[in-house]
Amino acid sequence: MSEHELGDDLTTLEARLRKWAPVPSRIERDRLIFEAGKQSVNADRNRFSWPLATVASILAAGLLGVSWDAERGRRHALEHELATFRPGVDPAPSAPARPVVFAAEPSSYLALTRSIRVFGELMLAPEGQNGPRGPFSHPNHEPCTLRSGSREFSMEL
Amino acid sequence: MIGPERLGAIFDAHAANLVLFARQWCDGTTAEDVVQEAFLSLAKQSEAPVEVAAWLHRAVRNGAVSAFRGKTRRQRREGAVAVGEACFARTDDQIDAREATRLLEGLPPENREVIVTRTWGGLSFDQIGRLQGCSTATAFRRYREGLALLQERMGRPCPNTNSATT
Repeated sequence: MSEHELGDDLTTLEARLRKWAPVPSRIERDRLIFEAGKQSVNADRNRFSWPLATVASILAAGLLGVSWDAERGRRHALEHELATFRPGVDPAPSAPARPVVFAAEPSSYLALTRSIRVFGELMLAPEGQNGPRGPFSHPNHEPCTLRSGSREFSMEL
Repeated sequence: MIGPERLGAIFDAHAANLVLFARQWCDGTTAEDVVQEAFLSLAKQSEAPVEVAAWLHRAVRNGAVSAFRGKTRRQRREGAVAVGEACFARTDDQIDAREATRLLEGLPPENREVIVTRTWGGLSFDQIGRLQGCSTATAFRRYREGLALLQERMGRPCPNTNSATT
């Protein structure tokens, strides 16, 4: 006995209903098929956009990964080179860099500050050599040194 | 991809039944629009569905229910009343098309849907169950109840005819 079994009367009714024919649709068949073909062509065009975008993204990610790996290798090599580097065995040490001194008025604050920094004390140039003779110059035209213990020059200052 | 010949064959086999199916929720013109949209969606599928009839019924059902919701809102707003049309072109000698439509429309929606999809759509109870979101046994029960109701009402004289003769 079938799971889905109707009584005799219902089976007769079922057979009777099957004879009823629904109203034919007024949809234009040829126009529908034409429209469907047109839309499926458009769908075909769009169908490849996502796979193409995916492939392009994968390629870009791969290239970035390879370049990152190469860069990492170079960095490790440089780190290794720096780790094995010994400054004492450098065959040709380069000359120490000389401080760059810009020309300034000899009696200016900048020139005096530089003089103190470079020579450790204030050097005053004789008159006519590096500029006008200032009030802190020595009487025998020698460059004089300003020291903290020099009372005469301190008083002049 | 479904070729035009196959699409034409599917259209010939199912279009009228699908319009009848969609008319449970909407009027004739809207039902035809819904069916047309379902066929266009079918043509856009990269591969034809395994169960084409069931797929089309589901697409039509979704479209018709959406249209029904929109129509109900519109009718509520405009106060319009739908005019009944005959759903059948040919019936038997015991009943005319309009009466058959009236009887079918008088059934509870769930029973009517099972009868339409089973009798004219040719779906199995398993497919109907999936369409309605119920078990196969429930779909069959609804079918049997619907047929019983239909038989009972077909046995009864039409109330309009009765009142006209008396």
